Amino acid sequence: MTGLREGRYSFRVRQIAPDGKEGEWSSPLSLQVQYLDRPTLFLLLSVGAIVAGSTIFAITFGFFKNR
Amino acid sequence: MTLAAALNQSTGWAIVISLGVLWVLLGIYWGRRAKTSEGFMLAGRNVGLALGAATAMATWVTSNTTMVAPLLAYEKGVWGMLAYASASFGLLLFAPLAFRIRKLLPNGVTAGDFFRLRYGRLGWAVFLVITLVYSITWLVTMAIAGGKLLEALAAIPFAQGMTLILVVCVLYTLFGGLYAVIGTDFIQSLIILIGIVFIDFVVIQNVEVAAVHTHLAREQPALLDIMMPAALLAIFNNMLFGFGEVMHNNVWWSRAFAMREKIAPKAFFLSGILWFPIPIAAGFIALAAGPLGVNVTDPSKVGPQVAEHVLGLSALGPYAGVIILVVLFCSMASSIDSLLAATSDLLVRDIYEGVFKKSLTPETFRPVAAVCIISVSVIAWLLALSGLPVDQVLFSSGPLVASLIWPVIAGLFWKQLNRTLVILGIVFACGIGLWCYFEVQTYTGALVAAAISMIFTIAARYLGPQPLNPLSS
Repeated sequence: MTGLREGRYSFRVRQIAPDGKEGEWSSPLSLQVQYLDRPTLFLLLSVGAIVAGSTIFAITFGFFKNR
Repeated sequence: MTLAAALNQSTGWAIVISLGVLWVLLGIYWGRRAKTSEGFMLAGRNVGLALGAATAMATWVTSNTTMVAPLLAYEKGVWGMLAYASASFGLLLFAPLAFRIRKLLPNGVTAGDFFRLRYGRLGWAVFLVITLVYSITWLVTMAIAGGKLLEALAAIPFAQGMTLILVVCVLYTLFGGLYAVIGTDFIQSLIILIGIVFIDFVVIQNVEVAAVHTHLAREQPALLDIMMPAALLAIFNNMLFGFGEVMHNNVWWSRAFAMREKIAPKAFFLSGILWFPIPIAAGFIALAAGPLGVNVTDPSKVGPQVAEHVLGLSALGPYAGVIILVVLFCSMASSIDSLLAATSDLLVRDIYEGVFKKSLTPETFRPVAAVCIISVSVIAWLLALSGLPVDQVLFSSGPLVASLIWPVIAGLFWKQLNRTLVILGIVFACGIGLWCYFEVQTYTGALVAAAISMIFTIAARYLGPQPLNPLSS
């Protein structure tokens, strides 16, 4: 189970035999989908962007300076 | 539908053994040229553009690309595909580094030479621990993926399939060294490229992009969201993981030393361009799982499972499993052989000769190299028996390699540094990065480790810097 947005979900299942006979529904299973909190996310994304950008700059600058 | 019994066991064994015999024969043929240690370890330092680009690309197309890229797409959506594809930036950025490496270390043999000369014995020891742990981890993930693939496709028991794949790769690496690795990589890269393009073509014939979009919007809407936290973090984390892996590992340094001086930067750049679309193509296959009604019981096998389903729908039905097994076996073999060769080079050059101060003659080199290759394989085999989830094993090593990005850049381009501070930064980065991986979020380990190491390395340029040792010594 993937790709759900944040929120509370309930699922239940039942068996369908090859002859089409339907079984009983199971008891519902509830689950909460919760993402990383936004302040932590944006902090980590900012750090990632700075580190990746700095790395690309350092290599490009170093290459042209020492070519 | 499930993937089980796509092939029968004997067909699975026959395909892997036939390909294995072919690679071993080619290994023996190409290995005739490996008469010296330099020939065995660096293919005579004379690799051209076509072979150079092909070996870099094939090595980077691992079982992780063909198994984990679909998994990321299946669980993280469009961003997940792009996150895995961002690993190609590591190859692109290694192009200017390869230029610099060849200029500073014209007679270099391993990445360990660089760390020993630039950061002294302590820095060298830290590098060896990190790179050996990472290399074994990478090898273990590929062995596990191989075992799981043969189990799923041909019902070959996991331990037997995993052992079979490792044994085949060990044999041809033993016979031919880097000559065999690069030669087989060329053929394997062609098979991988043609195979993935073909499978995607069949997928597009059987499912419309609009149907995929409609299904995702209804059943898995977060996979289309711009703000999916885990997927966004995966982009930077994977990119930095890729940077660290390529910039530090001897797999790539040995190729830089093996290629002709002016060829190396071009070959790495070209391989990065060629590699970029492969995870996207592999990932798209996984996104089609829902509209095709494929019941994904194990997300780590979603790529081969959907591929087998769509090839089964086409006229190729009975041959679907054969095509998938050949393509995926090539993707594994092209990386396992490279890793075996490069890691054994490190053990021979840095541990046997460097740490234990043993000297090798042309007569004694090959037996020692063989013992190293077999030892690495046995360790990987023992660890792979656990059958742990491939993606978790792989990403847990991200902080280790990401901590080496800035020490490599600084060592190649800067004139002075506080070496102790750089080494301290690597150790802190590994520790805190691993803590973040286990305690904060899976896709923060490499990101945080790279950031901490970067701060320490930049600080080391201004706080008590000393001139760096010349690399030519």
